[in-house]
Amino acid sequence: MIDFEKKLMNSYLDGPKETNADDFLAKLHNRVSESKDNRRTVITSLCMLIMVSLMTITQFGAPGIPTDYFYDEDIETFFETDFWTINSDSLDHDISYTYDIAYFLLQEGYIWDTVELLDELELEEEIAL
Amino acid sequence: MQNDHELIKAYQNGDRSAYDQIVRRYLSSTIGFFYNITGNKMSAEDLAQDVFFKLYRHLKNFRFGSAFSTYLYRVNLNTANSWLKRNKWKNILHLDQTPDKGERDTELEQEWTRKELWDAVAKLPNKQRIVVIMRIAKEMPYKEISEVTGMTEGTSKVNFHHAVRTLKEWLNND
Repeated sequence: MIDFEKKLMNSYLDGPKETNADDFLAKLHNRVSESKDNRRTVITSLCMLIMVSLMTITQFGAPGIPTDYFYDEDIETFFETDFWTINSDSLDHDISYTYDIAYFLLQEGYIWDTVELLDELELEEEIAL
Repeated sequence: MQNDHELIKAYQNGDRSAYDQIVRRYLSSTIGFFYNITGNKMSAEDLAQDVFFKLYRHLKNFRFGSAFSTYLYRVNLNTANSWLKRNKWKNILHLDQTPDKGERDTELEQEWTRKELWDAVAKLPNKQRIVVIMRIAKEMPYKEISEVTGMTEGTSKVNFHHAVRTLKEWLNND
């Protein structure tokens, strides 16, 4: 046991003799300045992140009352586009217009409505005759 | 010539050259300490860099409650302890692709390499490991070990004795 302890204690080494203190210090200062740069980058990134988060949360720059943009005093313009104001007979339109409507209905999947429309047109043509 | 505390005060007041003087004063002893553990000059210098980098950051808060050398020993000890633990995990996880057995030390009578010794030290319980590091890598007397670690002299001796017994068992069985 004592021999083993002696062996352990004899394992002590003298440090390396040729350590260049100037090189060591230069490396150390580099590391210190790198660490400062890194810290600055992290702080700047965090500030940016906080700013963006704040702007997102508070909706900075977004309009206060969105209804302002959609409100219109002259509501007639909306109603005038409704179908009840169209004062014309469907037969006044040419046949290509009717086909266009039928084609549109088909594309939308209203097959029975299309059949009904075409039947109605045929019936009206017969009455007219 | 300024003593350690005067240099630290100067550094705390913004004199960067005072820090350089501290580094120059303790550089060889710090590298020597780590050289004993790693057996490799490059690794010893890297660990010494870690120590002085920690000092650069924490010396501003030094409260002059103890001698600077004691404070430095504590930093050295913690750094060595972390390095040993890190290496222990590397060995367990086989992260070293080409296992380095270390140079066979003629002074150790060809019985074990320095790496084998410190790998075994890494496996010791924390208190035993600390005492062994201070005894072997620093040749520190028990009185100083108790000052640095806060253990009593008796506890240090008991821990060292247990550690030596365990190391003997492990190293002679390999």
